[in-house]
Amino acid sequence: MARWGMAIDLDRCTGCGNCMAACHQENNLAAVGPEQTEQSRAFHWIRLVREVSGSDAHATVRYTPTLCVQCDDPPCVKVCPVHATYLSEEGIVGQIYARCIGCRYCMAACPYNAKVFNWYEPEWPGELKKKSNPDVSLRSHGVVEKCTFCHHRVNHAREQARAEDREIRDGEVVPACAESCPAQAIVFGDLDDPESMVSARARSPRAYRPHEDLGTRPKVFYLEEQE
Amino acid sequence: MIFERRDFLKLLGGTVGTVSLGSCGRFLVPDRMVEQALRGPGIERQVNTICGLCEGGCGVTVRLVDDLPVGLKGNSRHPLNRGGLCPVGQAGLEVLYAPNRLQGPLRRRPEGSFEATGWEEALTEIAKSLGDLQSSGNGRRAAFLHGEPGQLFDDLARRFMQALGSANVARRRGETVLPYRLAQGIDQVPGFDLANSDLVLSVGLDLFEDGAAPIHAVSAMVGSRDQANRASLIHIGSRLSPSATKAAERLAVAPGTHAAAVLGIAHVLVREGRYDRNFVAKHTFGFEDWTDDRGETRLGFRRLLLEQYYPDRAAQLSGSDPRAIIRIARRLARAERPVVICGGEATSTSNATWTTLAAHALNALLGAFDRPGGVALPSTVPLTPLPPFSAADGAPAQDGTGHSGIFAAPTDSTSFGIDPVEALAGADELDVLFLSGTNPVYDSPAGSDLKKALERIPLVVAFSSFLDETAAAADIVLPVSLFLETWQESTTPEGVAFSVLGVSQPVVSPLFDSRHPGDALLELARRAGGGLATALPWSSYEAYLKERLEGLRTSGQGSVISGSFEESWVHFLEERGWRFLESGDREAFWQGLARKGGWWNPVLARGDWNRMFRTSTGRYEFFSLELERHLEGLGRSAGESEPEPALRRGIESLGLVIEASVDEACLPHFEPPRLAGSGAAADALTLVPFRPMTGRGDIGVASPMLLEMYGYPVLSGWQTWVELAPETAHQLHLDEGDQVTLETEASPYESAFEAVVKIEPGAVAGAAHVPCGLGREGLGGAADGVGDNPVRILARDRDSVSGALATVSTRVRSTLIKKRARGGARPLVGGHG
Amino acid sequence: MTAAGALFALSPSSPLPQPDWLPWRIQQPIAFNHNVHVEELGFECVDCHLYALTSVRATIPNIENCADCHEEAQTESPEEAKLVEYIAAGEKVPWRKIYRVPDHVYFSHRRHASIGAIECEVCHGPIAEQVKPVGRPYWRPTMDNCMECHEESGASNDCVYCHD
Repeated sequence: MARWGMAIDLDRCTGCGNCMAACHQENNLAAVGPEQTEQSRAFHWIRLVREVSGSDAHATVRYTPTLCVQCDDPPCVKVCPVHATYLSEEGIVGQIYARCIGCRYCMAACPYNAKVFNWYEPEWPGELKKKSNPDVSLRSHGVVEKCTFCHHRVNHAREQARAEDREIRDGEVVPACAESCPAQAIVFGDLDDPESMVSARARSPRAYRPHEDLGTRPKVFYLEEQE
Repeated sequence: MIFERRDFLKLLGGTVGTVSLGSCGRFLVPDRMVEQALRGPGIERQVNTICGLCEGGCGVTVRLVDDLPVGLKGNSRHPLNRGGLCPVGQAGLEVLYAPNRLQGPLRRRPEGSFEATGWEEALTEIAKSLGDLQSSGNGRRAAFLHGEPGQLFDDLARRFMQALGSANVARRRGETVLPYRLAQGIDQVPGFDLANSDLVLSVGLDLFEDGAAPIHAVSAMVGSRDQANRASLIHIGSRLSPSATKAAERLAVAPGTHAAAVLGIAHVLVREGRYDRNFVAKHTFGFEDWTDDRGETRLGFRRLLLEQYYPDRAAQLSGSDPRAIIRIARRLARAERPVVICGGEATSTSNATWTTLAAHALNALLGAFDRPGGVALPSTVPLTPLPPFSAADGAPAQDGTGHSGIFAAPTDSTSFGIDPVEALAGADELDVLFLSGTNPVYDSPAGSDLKKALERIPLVVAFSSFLDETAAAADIVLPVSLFLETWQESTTPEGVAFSVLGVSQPVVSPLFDSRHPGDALLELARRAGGGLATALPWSSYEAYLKERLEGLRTSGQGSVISGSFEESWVHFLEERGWRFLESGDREAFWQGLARKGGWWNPVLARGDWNRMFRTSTGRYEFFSLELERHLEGLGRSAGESEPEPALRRGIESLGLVIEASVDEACLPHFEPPRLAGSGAAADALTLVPFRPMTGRGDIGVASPMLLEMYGYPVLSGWQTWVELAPETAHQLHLDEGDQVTLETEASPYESAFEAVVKIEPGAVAGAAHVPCGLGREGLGGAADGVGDNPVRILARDRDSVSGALATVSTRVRSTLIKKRARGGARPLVGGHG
Repeated sequence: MTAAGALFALSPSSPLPQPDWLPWRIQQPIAFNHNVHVEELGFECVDCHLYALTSVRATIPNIENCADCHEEAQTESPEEAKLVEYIAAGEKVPWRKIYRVPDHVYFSHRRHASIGAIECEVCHGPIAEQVKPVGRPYWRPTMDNCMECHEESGASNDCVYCHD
């Protein structure tokens, strides 16, 4: 059984924002509108986090694509009173909207600020609903949501592999963010397969995991910038 | 898959959207689509087409479930974007399904408002006007301005107007070609071979976000390379854009002073002898001092550099760091295949032509021409030539008076050309005007002038998908099908080093009563009859494309877009003098083109210096003889007869500051940018409008997603912001999140706009960087009333040489309107709320 | 479902949502006889439910499929006459769906019927013997029922396999 993971090469990332847009479209996220944005309620499952170092003309800014890191020991799961969020067989931290009661304990527990809350029913002006991706269910207000590693794509790949009586190939499952990245900064695959691209990147001397010290054992690796 | 609750939510969501968003329009899901979504088996298809939302023309793959488009991704085989796509492209479906799209033709009522009309009535009316012009021989009272990305549409529009007897056709493009004409003698922006370069110096251009094809830049420099072979980026600019943050080295310069920094770099290359001597000796003119026909010694580029642009002075002129200038020069010298590209803010100033000449001169010093990873001229796309048409049928082939049209520079102009929008705004004696794929009333500094001019023209026909600011000033608005609904083409974007022709095929039948403007022109020609009908005999735009693109097949050049294996095979064959033969007949070729999404030709004709340098000397001209002739000409028409005084007089007529000698004007040099408004006030800021990645194209903002992530790099959405350096903000007593107005007295129409302060460490002090693209007044839907448009208040200034309108031209002062609410700046994307 | 009720009061033409299980029989517009088609005429399920093995939804046949045989009446049946009328008018038969799963569940016929090689009868019952139109589900697609079968057959009961 696979253990899905991701490696993001910050040296390749150009901060273009395509991952945000592609994820937004793939996972049927709705824009929350100007008033909600003003109150910091705009959300993305993957977003570019901006870090500034220095304050003068030589200051540097770094953009890091940030998403649910799919911990192997997820703090959010421990606090969920209704088993709406849990660690799945293949290592994806699932979020089952139908079970979620909107208590937001998991959001408080998550050290990565990876979970977001639907404060209001998503609004889709005009015909926008029609283009929604049929593979991903629409969330109503009052539930917590987050990056799923595009597990509907994993399911599709598994279905196809079973139909052809084989294992899922490395590189066969590509989440929307990785697919749209023109810099090919994001690699997805099975961390338990030593041959996979993602485990090769995870072994890179540049690789680190966010807040490793917390013992959450994330499955998203970042590769530090060179130079 | 789609189950009932979801479908129900679709309906519910639509209804809720209408109720709560009010102006968002009616709820419109065609029954056939609801039925499909409800009962369809869920069969998936992928279709390749070309994104039509900006001039880039990236290949996209559309995912259809039961024939409904539900997702877009980059076409992994398209040579421009190689699977990548920008946020605007990702938003393509939101634009397609936008509730505020035009649903049918509109006609202006006498009292001013619009009423719905039919294509039949609208076309009949336009055809009648055209017929009148044709029969009375007044064709030149018609004009056509467009911004369509494809060359083939431009050809069709030109032929249409020519058949009518008018030379008044212009296409709005990104960069002006004049500097490349002056230095290289070519009438195009050359290609920059980013895919094979190891070091790219970008002067003013936010390479990964702006320019004609930013996604191509990312994929060529990073995406398609392995880690060891990536190209490095050096960025010279006043703003800390995402591209600049990703650069290996960044040189912060004051707005409009890029040329000084670039010439400082050139100085170091020359002084240290680290330029390509061989190339400079063989293929350039004006490097060393030279003697003209009259025996006088003229200033060479080398001497100008050595005397004027030593690093300390270059740094002082540009407000930058001399050590960084030296470091960058040495880095360029060390690189194997460096290339220099210029654009963005550096070419939006009154000194844009000289800045571009300075940047391009670096390419010459580095010997970057005609080598891998350098400057290239993409091969000509072998389109089927248009059949000649006879002018005998009633329309003169050329404008009868020999007049070169309203878009040519007027005879009393001091610049080479005139901005097409300004030309149009100043034109009288027009009866009919067509506008397509462009929104100058909104995005041009001369927009307010144009809006007034449109009122004077009896019949203004606008092709548009939305009732945008320009369409709202038209008499007849014809709805345009979006790229997912129609056949159209895209041609090689500016600055790309290979030729590419993207073919966009319809993946869904038009949602509304819309057409491609090409189809409408062909129909108009049929109805107007006479010379027009003879000149444009095609039954549809698809038929026209098919005929023109047949030339690609018969030429045997290039190939239909293919995978990487086939590509290397094509290279192999071509390098050995073989032709890659397209299999199949005409129809099969066309099918293949449409299926794969286009054609490309990566092969360059190497060693063809006569094609690369078409100047009178046949060399790269550091000293532009054409510019000298132009300046002398200006002096002569002002009454000077001798060359030297005429040149001096010509330079004076441009209002230039010349320090060394008159020869300096014909060489790349630093000319201080002209900035109007707010005088020398200590607290005045230089306004630098920029186009963010999310603001590409004109209609992307119909997508709520794009509005929400409009300013994602600075955590801003649904608003116009102004980026200030920390010391500037401190000096003005402004904090992050404060709401301000930026005011100037430089604009003849409006003087202020509003923005929210974002403190941006790394921005140069004294500059106010503001994104374009918001502050829409006519688009309808989600974008209306969001943010503000800085272009409205710009001073009306031009590039002294090319005549292109400058956007970095204005000084502004800020006034605080509202202090940020207590509690600190909130991040845009939080989640906790 | 209160909001739903309000909406459907406004737009009666919209497809009505139905609970997963109904205690009453749903009336179909035509009294379709599976028995005649399968037992007597020898059709396979997938001859009409075209996508049962290959796609997410099996699909309910409509006039474009029925017209192959019923362009003209084959029998004296008044029910068939209704179908012929629909076909002649080019109007879709408004079949009512019986089997439904909620929006947050991903169910694929292909995954079950083709890859899992589950016979149609396992979920849909002895439909070939049925002479009346389908009016209620043979087997209710509730989570309990799904998980029970998954457990018995060794299929995974991991949440994210079915909940997207």
